[in-house]
Amino acid sequence: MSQSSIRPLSIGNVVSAGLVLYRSNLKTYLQLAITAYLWILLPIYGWAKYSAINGLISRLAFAELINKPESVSTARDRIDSRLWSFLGVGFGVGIRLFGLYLLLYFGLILCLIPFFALGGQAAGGLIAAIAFLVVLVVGIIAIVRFYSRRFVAEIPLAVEEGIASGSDSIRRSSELTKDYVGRIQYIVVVAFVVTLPIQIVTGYIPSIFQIRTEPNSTAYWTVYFISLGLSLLGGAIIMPFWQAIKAVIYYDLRSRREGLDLQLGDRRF
Amino acid sequence: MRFFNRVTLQTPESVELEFTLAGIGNRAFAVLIDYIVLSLTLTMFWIVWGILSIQIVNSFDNVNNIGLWLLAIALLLNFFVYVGYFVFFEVIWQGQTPGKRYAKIRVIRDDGRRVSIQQATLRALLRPIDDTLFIGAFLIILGSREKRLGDIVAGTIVIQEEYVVAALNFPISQQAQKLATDLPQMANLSLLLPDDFAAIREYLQRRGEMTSKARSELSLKMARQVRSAIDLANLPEGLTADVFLEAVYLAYQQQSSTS
Repeated sequence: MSQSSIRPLSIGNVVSAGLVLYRSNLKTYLQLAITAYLWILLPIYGWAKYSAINGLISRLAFAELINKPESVSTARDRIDSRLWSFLGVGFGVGIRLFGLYLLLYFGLILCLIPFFALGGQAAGGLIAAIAFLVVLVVGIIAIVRFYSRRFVAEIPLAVEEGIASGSDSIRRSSELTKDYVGRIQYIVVVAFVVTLPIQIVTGYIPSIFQIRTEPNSTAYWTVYFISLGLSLLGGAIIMPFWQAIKAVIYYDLRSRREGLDLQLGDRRF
Repeated sequence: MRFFNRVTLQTPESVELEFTLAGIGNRAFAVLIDYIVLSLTLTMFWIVWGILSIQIVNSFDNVNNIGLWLLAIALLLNFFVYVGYFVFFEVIWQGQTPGKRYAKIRVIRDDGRRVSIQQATLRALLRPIDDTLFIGAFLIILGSREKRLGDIVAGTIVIQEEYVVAALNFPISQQAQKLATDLPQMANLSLLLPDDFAAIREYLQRRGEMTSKARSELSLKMARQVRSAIDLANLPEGLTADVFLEAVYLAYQQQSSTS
């Protein structure tokens, strides 16, 4: 008897499950994603719509995971009622991230002070260099860790009934991801490797063509717009995959931290 | 879970074995680890070779093009190390490389037998095409048996290692042990399904990782459901849900091992 329905997922299985979810709903998710990438061209309202559609795809994926699939229109109603909260999540995470970058920047500048204070001597330079390296490494680790903890920040907002504001969602996701940060980082790396073929074709190769044309010639602008269109298309293709992965991560977190899969296994109960 | 492909193989002795296919996530993870280990090994090789070459070129400067020869030999050795890494480990560890070991997947033949050196070599030789042009990734994602070019040619598949139900090591309180001896008389344990027993065991195993709020809610809910399932009318005083579930687990285990 297979017991794999009530067990937490391994790193590779999270990525595989995300892909299977995407494949089985390819048309729906892709249509939504293309809509999202058209909305992104419109400032403010469009960005809110873009964030909301991200949440919508994750909600649909999660509903499938817990065996209670939802129709797109039902899910969309729930999501649209919280439209601006989704933008709020994006801003909330973005501003905090920006703050961390600023902190790192100031820390790095502070490191250069010993060098100047000692009048440009070698000893000052050495201290400054070591401090610079240490602060840089610590700063990068802190930022990666920070972002990993908030990787699924918009999912509680999309899925849970009781959460209606952006900051509630961020708080809830931080609470859930407490001991899980390393796994999220591995999952992101593996998922990125899986998306590499598409990234290369729609993102990196057009950039290579871009470099070889002269600026401000007609060839340049046509290549520019073609590569812009291609990278938007590539983004639209990849986005549902990431949203599905977030839904699977969220499901896995709920299972480990709150026994969600044990509650769902109440067949006869 | 219907998210993972299961496949049934027939062995030469006409026994049917069922496996779960590895899935693109696990395979990508494994190959990533393998390439990292391989890159470190090859980097060290090139550093050592570089130092050696400088010495050799200096002492043999009368030989024509010795630098070029050394480079050619190095490239050949590079290729052998690359192929040899995968062949060596897949044969020695019966279908696993260090990366596959970490991701808990394994290469086996189409009929369920272990891979031998022929399959391992064929897979490894086709790896450059599969990996650099991402053909392998596409074939794995789209195929029903998740075979990349190397798998198709060598007749192998890659499966997940089955979860071994090893000795479970969660603590069981004294109170629960005492209650477990009384339970068979107080209630009808045979009404408990194996699936329910599995759910109780999973809960007991994993409760340490759960948040305390969720844990108490879940244990209460499960305890109530178990109680009604086994027809238990009266609970002893001062019993927590956790202890009750432990007792049910023990009693069911004892009952099924004696019957």
